[in-house]
Amino acid sequence: MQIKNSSLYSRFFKVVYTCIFCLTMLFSVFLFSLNASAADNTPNTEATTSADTKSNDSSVSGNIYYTNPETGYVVRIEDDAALLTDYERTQLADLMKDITQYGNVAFKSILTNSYSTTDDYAYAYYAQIFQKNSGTVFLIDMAKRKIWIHSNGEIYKTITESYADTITDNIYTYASKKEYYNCASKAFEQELALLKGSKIRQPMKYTSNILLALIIALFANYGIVRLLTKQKKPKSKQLISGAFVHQAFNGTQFQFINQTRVYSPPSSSSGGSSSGGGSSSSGGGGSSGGGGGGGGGHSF
Amino acid sequence: MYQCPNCGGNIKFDIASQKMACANCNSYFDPYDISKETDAEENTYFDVTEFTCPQCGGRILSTENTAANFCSYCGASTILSGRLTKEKRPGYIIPFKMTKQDCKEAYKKRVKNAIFAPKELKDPEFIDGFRGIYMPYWVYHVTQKGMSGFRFSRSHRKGDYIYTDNYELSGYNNSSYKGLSFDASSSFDDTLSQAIAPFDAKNMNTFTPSFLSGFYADTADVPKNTYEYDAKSIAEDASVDYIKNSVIPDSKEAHRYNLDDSDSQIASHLDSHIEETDCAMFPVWFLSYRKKDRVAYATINGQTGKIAADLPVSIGKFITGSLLLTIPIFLFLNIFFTFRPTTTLTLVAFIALISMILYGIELKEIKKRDEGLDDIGKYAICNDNFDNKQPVKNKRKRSFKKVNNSKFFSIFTAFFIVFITFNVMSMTAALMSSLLLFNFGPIFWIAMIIIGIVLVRTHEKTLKTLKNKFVIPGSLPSLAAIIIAAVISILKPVSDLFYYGGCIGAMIAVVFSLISLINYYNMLATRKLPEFDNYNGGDDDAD
Repeated sequence: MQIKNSSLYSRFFKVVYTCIFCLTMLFSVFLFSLNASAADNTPNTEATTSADTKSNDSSVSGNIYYTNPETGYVVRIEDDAALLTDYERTQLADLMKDITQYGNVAFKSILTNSYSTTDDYAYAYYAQIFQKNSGTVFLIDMAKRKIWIHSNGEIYKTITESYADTITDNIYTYASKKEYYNCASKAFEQELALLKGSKIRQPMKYTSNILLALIIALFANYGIVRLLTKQKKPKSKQLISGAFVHQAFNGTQFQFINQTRVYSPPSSSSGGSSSGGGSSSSGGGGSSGGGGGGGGGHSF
Repeated sequence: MYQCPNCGGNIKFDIASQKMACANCNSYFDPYDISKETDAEENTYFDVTEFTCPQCGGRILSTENTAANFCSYCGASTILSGRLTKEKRPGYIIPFKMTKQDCKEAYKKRVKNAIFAPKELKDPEFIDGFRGIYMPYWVYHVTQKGMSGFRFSRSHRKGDYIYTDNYELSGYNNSSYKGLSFDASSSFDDTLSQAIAPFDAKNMNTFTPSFLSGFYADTADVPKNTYEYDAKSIAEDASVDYIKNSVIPDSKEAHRYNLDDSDSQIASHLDSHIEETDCAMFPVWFLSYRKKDRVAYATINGQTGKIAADLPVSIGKFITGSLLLTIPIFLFLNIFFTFRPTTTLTLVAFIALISMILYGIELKEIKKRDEGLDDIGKYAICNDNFDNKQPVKNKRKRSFKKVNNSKFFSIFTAFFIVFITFNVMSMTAALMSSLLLFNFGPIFWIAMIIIGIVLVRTHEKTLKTLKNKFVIPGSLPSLAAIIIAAVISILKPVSDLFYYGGCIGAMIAVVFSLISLINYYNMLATRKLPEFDNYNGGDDDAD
């Protein structure tokens, strides 16, 4: 691309570059200072976790809508954020019953979230109600404006993190439009379809992968071009092979020159490195209690 | 032109038989018997016709009188003006061993693997354009004579002390390397001549002009002492290998001790001298492909068949090949990965940054090539103060002019690398605990933009020195892609459409940058049309 009046354009671009440069410098310093101050305000999630979940213990039995007589798995609905009507809860429970062939299933909506992320809350909630048993939870977090699916046990072998991401990607628009019943019902419908062995739409996966595949292909071909067309220089040994070579090292003598002495006492090796105090705990939030499982979600 | 003693027909050197052959009467003659020169004084020079290209000024010699209608240096199809002249006689010659058919087969095999090469390079009519040219080479005889010593030691502990016994292995080094050759023509790029090296100088024949019959020849215009340092370096490397792999293991005592001297220290003890420098003619098959103001060469060692070729890329084939490769990559990604739109956008931004870095590397290589900084011969004849008499002991590498970058941006780049490193370290703990891969904060994106701006500015400066005018760098679309990704990632819109839209926009920008990258690769794979304005004429080897 060649430009006429090159000096004018050159000066213009210099000014643009310098302005962007300075603005980004200032913005980065500003954001860094914000980041640093936000780190100090992170709530003590461990202390609030137990208080948060304890408040639900008293109403545990009231949230169980159905128990599968064959498998013993339950359907739980805890609409703390009052997103569903009574009728919608009943309809949703009927839909969730089919999943109890495979594991426990729960719907949860919350207005406040004292955890740092929605998935932390989902993890802790699942561990509290279902422990390590097979099950799945669909969570609508109105505080962080996020929907999340968390699964464990047998169900997790099918509803993996990848599928959780895909399902929430397919349905988040319902939550954006405040159609919470449709959002939840579509989530459970797709989970049931997967558990039954059917396939679901995965537009997010295919769109992302086709875009990445094209760029990776361009780069890979560029790499192939550079590799295949590289001119290799011969090494010194090859260059010598075409010459007349005469090598001789005569009258060799191996002579003692001198001896040096250096003071270097060996170090005492008692005890080795001391480990100091006890092991540090990982702190609150995240992966405490229970084990296994995983999920995915989407903002709305 | 040489005439058959039997029938008077035109005789030329026949590669298959390695003799002068008459096409009329199928007679064969020894080249030395056919040679015209008889006078001892005339043996210093020999008669040739000098053809000069009107477009690039390139000179080529021939013992034939027939007109030359193609310039191998600039690829111009034009009548070259010829005149009779005398050229200084080289000492040796290696006759062609590879026939034109052998050379065409070797070239076809080479371009077969170049799947993106333009179809013209594979056209049989084009491949038939190979021309046999005898290239001048300086052939050095390096000797190393003198006492040399190398240090050894062995340590042991006694109480609180470490005792080290120091020894020396000394001897008389009497080594000689004859036939280290380097091309003596500034029109023959060092990158090509090195790629087809070595020639087997052990099979050099005494020069006689009859070997040139049927072929062309170039003239030596690079000073003969240009490659003395390189010849000595090769000799020293060989001697160091010999000492380490033969002399020391053969010594009963030395091999039980630790060698204290490094390779460069051993080399510094070897007293290398250039005993003699001869001029020789070595056979090269030459083919040129010209497109606009660039030319690509293919050269084949006429003795060993080793090939070196400039292989540009056809943009159409490249894009088609990439679209085809997309399919298996897409299938692979589908099996193993599910990327969220945020992750895809971040990956596209990363790839944009990598393309900018590659773009800068290519521009620097193009600048180095176009200024002849990778061609010692061309550099030597263009720079009067070229220093080839550097002490062998102190220098292992050549130093060339370095590309000047803006100090202002260099300082800021260094500052931000430190700043960004500190921020990345502080974000690492948050990243690990959140388990959200590729969800970097604003600091990261700002750092990416800053690095992108610095890179684009550097590219603009390099292009300005290359083209002598302001040119918008092809890496600017990649910077736009990074900015798009940064804005969307910082704003964090809910709808995925923003991310997909950003990905598509960023991807289109990266594709533009990659096409520009390929265009500049083609500049790298080809060379500027030669301008032989530095040719002094006459015999540069005259004492």
